[in-house]
Amino acid sequence: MNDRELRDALHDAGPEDEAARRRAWQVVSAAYAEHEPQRRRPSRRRLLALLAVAALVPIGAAGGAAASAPDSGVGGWVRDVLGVGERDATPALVEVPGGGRLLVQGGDGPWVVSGDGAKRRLGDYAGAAWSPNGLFVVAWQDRALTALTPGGEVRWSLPRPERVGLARWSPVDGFRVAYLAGGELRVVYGDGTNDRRLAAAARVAPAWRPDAAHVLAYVDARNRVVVRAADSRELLWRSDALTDPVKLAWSADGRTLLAATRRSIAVFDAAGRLLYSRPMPAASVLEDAEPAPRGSQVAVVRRFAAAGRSEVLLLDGSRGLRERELFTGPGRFGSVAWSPAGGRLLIGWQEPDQWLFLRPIRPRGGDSVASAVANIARQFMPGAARPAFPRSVQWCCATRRDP
Amino acid sequence: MRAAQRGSEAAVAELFARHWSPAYRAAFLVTGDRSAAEDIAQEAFLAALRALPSFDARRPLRPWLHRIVVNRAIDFARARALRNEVGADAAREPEAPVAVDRHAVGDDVAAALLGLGPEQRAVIVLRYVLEFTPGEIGAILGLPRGTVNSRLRRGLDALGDTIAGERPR
Repeated sequence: MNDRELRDALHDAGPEDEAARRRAWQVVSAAYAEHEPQRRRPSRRRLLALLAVAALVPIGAAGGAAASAPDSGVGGWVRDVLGVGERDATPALVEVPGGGRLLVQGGDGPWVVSGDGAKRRLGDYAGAAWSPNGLFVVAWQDRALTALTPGGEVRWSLPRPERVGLARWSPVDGFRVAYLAGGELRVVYGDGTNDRRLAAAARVAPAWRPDAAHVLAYVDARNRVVVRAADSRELLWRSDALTDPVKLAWSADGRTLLAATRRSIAVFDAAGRLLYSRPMPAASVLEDAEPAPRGSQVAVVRRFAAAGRSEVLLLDGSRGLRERELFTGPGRFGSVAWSPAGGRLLIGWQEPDQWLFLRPIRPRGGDSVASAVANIARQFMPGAARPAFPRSVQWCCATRRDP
Repeated sequence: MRAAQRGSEAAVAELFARHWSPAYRAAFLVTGDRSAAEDIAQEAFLAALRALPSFDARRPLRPWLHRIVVNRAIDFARARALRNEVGADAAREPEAPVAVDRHAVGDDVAAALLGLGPEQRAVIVLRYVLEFTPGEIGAILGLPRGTVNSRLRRGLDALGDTIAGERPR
């Protein structure tokens, strides 16, 4: 059979289902009837009048509005009138600035975004994480851990009697995967074999030290930070108990370990000595913290709930966690992700439904926002009546330096 | 597209008439399931409606729409296979074959197509049903062109083998 015969055969194949066409048109035309045609941009005079009204609105009202969902009328009002969000945001993600690929935890499962912006939903998984070189993804859902290619091809699947989650692939060699199952930390080989229990653990993602020694940091059942050699199970060090720990992350050189709680950040050296500790300001909570892929900086997202605003800071780990504000705005920012070369920071901004790509070093007289992309929720939950804003993003494996 | 953005229902009807059949057929040939194909094609049109206000009318709708259709169809086929794979005792079984509505397919070629994996099916459907170029297919599926070409070649070989094996000698 040649190409032409195949083309003809496939063109004739499959059902011509008139009833399906009729049903679909009813749904589509009804949806279009509810759809609002493009509005004209408000005139400058009308915008000024609206801003004057907006200035009279109490801050509390704006804060309440900012907490609404991206697609809600109130959220839209905030965006249109108060100017929340970047005005020059592109309407869709058409490329990943600076290259690399994204693993996005969308509202109905993880998505892989290639450098050219092409997106693929991996399936019905609750979460996922990259392997060290982005060749695979480890994903979890209910009682199964699954390794698959970024194209979605399943390589292995590991069932457990308990709910599993928060898996992390070991760096450099990719020979181990650590994950939580019930109240336990477990480690399985990268090919899905030799699954075994390592320790009891709290529900915080474990963090592999960035070398090939298979050293793992985790939070134990008593909220202490523990660092252990995963293969020999040797205990290397253990901290005092922390209050409400949310994140562990090693510095790029593996010499320090950051432990973030809702109210503070602590940095330990390789032997477990506390180097620095910094409380969050009163009335603020830490949303995320992430060390840069090179150097000593840590990006921190914190939220002032009562004031209805959030901010992104850079803490310098080599200077006693001296802080520098990078971006602040109304509403809530999600997690933070560094580009692989450290030249960009991706911040999710829920109220205007945007992703911001920030420059860690603001150009003289310039803006810290390098670019912005709008309509994020619906791009990662197409077809949903109320698409949820993605929970987090992991940025992997650029083939070139960030511009 | 611009007329649809301005509120013309006739323009939307024309877009629907032009793109429904290929979208539905493509979804069916990838999933092998009529209901899923209807849902997937319908959902793609609803996604297009939601994106109307921000859609750049200078860009063609067709690849954008079929990207949604084919990726959703692959997800559906893969999810069904995965549900079979991670069953109760969950041994490392080979991927269970996707249940196929063979009766509805109606001919050897399409039935043989449903014997391939969903990714290979998608590449063949994009090339021979929707008539995208390998470069366009790569953009739609997020694959390098070489991978598209190799999947096409392997898929066509597998189709040829299946059809030859099933024909009376």
